[in-house]
Amino acid sequence: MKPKPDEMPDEWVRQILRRLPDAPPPGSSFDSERLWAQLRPELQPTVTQQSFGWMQWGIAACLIGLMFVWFWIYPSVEKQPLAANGNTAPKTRAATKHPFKQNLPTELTQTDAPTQSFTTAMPTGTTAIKSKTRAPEPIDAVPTIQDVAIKSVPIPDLAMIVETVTVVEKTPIPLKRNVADLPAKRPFRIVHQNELRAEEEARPKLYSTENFVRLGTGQRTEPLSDDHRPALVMPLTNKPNQ
Amino acid sequence: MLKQLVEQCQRGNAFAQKRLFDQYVNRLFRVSLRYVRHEPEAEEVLMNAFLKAFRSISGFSYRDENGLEAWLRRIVVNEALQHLRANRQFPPFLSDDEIDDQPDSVALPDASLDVERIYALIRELPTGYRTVFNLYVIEGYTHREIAEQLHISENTSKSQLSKARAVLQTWLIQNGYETETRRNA
Repeated sequence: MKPKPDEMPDEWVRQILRRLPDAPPPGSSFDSERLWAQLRPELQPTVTQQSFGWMQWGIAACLIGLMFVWFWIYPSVEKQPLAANGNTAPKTRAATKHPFKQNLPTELTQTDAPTQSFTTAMPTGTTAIKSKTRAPEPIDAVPTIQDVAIKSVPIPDLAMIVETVTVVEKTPIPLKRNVADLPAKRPFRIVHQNELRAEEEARPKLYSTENFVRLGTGQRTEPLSDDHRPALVMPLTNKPNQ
Repeated sequence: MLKQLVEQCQRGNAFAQKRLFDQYVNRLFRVSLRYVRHEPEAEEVLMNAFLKAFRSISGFSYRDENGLEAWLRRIVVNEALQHLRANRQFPPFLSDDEIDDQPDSVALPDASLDVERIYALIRELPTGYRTVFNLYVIEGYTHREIAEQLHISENTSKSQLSKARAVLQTWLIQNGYETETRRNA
């Protein structure tokens, strides 16, 4: 197809423009360095924004990690004092109700021996006062913390085991105790008769004893004469006018 | 080499950005000048174009040098068109009465062609003619794409291109480029 005469070849124009030099047009006041100086500050915030964005993500990740660790550790920290209190509770209950006879030596399990030695050691003239009529209690050994810790924690927890181990290390308690070291419990109190009388006299009296008359005579060294016989006056009533 | 430069620019390396800027700044300034005519406006368009290019270079996939240059040119052209739209320089499109005498035919100029003169003549075209001429002849857009970019019809785009060619031919003749009819005569 013959090109129209009034049409300029487009390819010719493109070729002309490809031959242009890689420089500003002649007579131009364009300065590339000046343009870069204006452009450079605009580019810098993008770099800092990117780094700040990463910093934001990093800080957020650290905070989330710390919160996660805190919530993971805090319950175990709370359980520790509760577990410690729980350890003591069954310990005291066991001491009163369930003696650990299985772990105790044979001497502690024999409850008749203390009773027998108690009756034979009483001196004459003394009365054994039984404050409580009950059988002598067996000597309870203090259970070890280790045994209680193991029995009280059904599900072994690493943190708890570590805590119990540390507790055992810090407060070592001997497993076996000598019978002689244990304080002996005396159900009866041996008191002399004169001491008892003195206690009764020392007690605050509930009633006045001014009008009381001693009946009967005590032991006197000199016989009383007729002149020294006091008149026996016995008030019939407590009224002051009679 | 250029690929490594692009990769460094994608990482935000300031030295790489400067090197890339120095390599393409003059070429792209000429592109910008063909659209906006005045140098201060062309510098503004060029700066906005480089800003956009460096901020979006992380999404650019480098294949070859021509692809990089074509990508940068596209950004400059879009910024130039946006500048023209913002400054309300569309249209005016010259009517037939305002165009000088049209030549009878077109002749290819000889080898001693002053490329700078041709470049200057293109810059002298009216805004509407110049824009359509640049988009169609130099950038390779179709009339449909030009119509979408400039919010005109395809017929208007064709008409403007024809008129731009006519004006340019007239000026070439006036500047000493002979036509075929004159040569044959």
